[in-house]
Amino acid sequence: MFDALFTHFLLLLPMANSAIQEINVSSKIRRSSDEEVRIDGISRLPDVLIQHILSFLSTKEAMATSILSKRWLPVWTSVPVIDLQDSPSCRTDSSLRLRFEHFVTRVLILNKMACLDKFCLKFNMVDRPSCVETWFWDAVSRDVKELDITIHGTQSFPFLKLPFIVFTAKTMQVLKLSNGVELHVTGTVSLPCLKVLHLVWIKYSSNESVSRLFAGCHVLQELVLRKYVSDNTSISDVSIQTLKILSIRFATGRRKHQLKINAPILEYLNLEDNLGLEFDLEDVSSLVEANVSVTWLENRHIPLLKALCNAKFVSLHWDWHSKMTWHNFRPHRLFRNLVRLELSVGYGGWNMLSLFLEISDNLQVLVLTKNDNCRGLGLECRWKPQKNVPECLLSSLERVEFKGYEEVAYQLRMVKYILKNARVLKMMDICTNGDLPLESKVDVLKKLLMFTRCSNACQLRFN
Amino acid sequence: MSEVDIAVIKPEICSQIMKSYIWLQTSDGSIQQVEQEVAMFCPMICHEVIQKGIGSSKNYAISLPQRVNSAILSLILDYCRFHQVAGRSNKERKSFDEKFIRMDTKRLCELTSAADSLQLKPLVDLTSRALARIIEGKSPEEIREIFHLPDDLTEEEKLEPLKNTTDDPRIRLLNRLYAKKRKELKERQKLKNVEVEEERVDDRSVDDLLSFINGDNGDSKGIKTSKSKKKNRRRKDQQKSTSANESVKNHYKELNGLNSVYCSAEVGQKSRAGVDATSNVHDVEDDIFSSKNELDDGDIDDEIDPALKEKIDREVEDFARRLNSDWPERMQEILSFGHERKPVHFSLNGNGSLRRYANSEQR
Repeated sequence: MFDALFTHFLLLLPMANSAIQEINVSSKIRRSSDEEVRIDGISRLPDVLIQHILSFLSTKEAMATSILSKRWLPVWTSVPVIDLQDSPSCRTDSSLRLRFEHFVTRVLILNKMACLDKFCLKFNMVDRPSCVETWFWDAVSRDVKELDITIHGTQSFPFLKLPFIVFTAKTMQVLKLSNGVELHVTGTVSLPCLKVLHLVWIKYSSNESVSRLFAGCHVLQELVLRKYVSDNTSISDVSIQTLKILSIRFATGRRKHQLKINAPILEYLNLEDNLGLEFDLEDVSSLVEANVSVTWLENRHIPLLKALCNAKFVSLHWDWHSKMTWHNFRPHRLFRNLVRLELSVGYGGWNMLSLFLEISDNLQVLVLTKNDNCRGLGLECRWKPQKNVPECLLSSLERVEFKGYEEVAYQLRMVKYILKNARVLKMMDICTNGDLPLESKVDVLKKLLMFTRCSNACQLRFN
Repeated sequence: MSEVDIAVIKPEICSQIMKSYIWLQTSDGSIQQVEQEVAMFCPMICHEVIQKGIGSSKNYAISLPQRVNSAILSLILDYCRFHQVAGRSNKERKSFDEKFIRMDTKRLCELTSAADSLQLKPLVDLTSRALARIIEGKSPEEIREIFHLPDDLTEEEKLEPLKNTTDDPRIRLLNRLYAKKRKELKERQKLKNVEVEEERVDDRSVDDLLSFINGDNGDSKGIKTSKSKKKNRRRKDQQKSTSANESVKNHYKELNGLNSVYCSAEVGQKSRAGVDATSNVHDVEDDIFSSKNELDDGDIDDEIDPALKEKIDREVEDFARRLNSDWPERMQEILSFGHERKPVHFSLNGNGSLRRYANSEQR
């Protein structure tokens, strides 16, 4: 009896000894030989490839594969990606939050990799978890390349201040912080490999925190900022010499905020402004593409528009516009490189079209859109064509798209004017919104076809 | 040759020179020629051509790795042919990839393997992502079905999945341990009345087991200390990690004659309390000894007969089983946490041994 128990006991242990393995798996051997013929490709893949496959799954899913079969048992611990997310019910249940905390700690302990590629954590926070320092210490000491932290909380709960070790991570290339994080930087930041930085709806301890962070990133190429009104900053100073891609969005609010951009090799700018932003743009002469979207286009945007003069592709959206005084704009800054211009107009401001046509001598593609929000409200402007036909119409404009065309007088006039004067126009593409009934569409088409066309090669496409 | 002949021949030669081919030999022996720019898209082929200068003629065809047969090679070449063209937009490439990846899983695995051997990283990423999407969200049975994986884990292994494979020294030590326990039981039967001695015997066994855990948590040298003196063991016990303490403490709690325990939250709670507080070492040790004393009291009250012997055997068996893993409860918790709360039930099996059941719907 004793010996039987003893053997049984041994059988419960994991075996390197094949003889014992046979006893253990005897019933299963027969089954596996049947299946041997069907052993599939995935079992033939080396562990490295299976780890690569598992790195595209969340850590919980990867962990779940450990009970598939013997071979899959330890594979998940060698995946260099840790991607953990808690459940929405953790928001209200503190014991669930505690469990998740310990879960994260254990996953970090069980993961065998000396170098992590990515550490991604999304969780709800009410009180600061006790293990937070440990998590970041572990990730940083494992040379993590990408850190992505999102914390769901509300304004009434404290925001998470990251341990300073994160700001001295030597190998970090991507840092993404979202929501319930507070950027609190007190010492000298050193992030020698950081190329991508996303700060989305986070809070800042002070303006200096941001400037200290930027000062420590010497190879930063991409910066994404999403800011809201009460995030404790009054100035956004983006003075980063190596920056190539900049995407900033400011949420609605009335507080004055200053945006300073000094990025000599900036190539791509994406700006969404709903605040009372003051612009101070130095040298952005290397700009290739700019997408600007504002709620209220005013005089304060003039420095911004001036700064875009070197771009090849410009896209400008606005909902409202007030009368702008264009001092000295025309003669000095021509949009020489502008090849594609997209104007999305809200409640008026179609005169901007004339302005742009005048200053962009080499424009090839023009896209006009009536802003979806502002359709059909009757607040149209009187658009009058200039006396002198703009240079681009004569020499370079090849393609015009008109989206959201409505049967309104000034739009007709615009289309007529362009068709009449664009000498090298190849395609005029008009897209109505779906509201118009079919008969009136046919009428519009007839009318459009009647317009004289300056260019013989011009095709008219109507939707 | 007359000038006319040369003029006629030239264009043909020119067209052949213009389009150069690389010769490839697949694992199943067939040799084919492929346009150079298409073949050179694969880093491995590129390397062979440049470094070794082969592939320019049929006799010197580049022999591809074993995992690349002709069917898979044609797929890979389709991929290369599309993507090596520079002017394509990202949208085009993406839609091509989405259509390309539609194939059965077996082929997908072969393609991953072949692309990896040719060092074609974009294709490896594409196929790996597709395989990950297949695995995502499925139950273990479904995944095993799709990939024809053998279900060769025992119930216990599913619960305690993380082990090293080289266990010979541990098996040996456990054998010794078991033999020692056997001896102690025999001694106990003879010396039933001497309580103090029994206590001492039991203490020693605890030390054994604790130092065994300690030896595991440390390095292999720790295993040799099982022969060291009691005093050293004591000292070592006090220095060990709190985690080992907790697992022993929890083991004792379980072994205290509990038939059915709602384990996860309770045990988890206790172990969590201990994780960060290293100062709890002494407290925990006291708990171990006190609970062990409880066990002793229970034992002494029972009559010493085969039933008791069986019970003790089973306890040691259970104990040793847990000793082999560092994180039995944690793994359990991890698995149970990952799928919300699934309680772990301890209940008596048909043959009377203490068995731990997990919810059968574990992934």
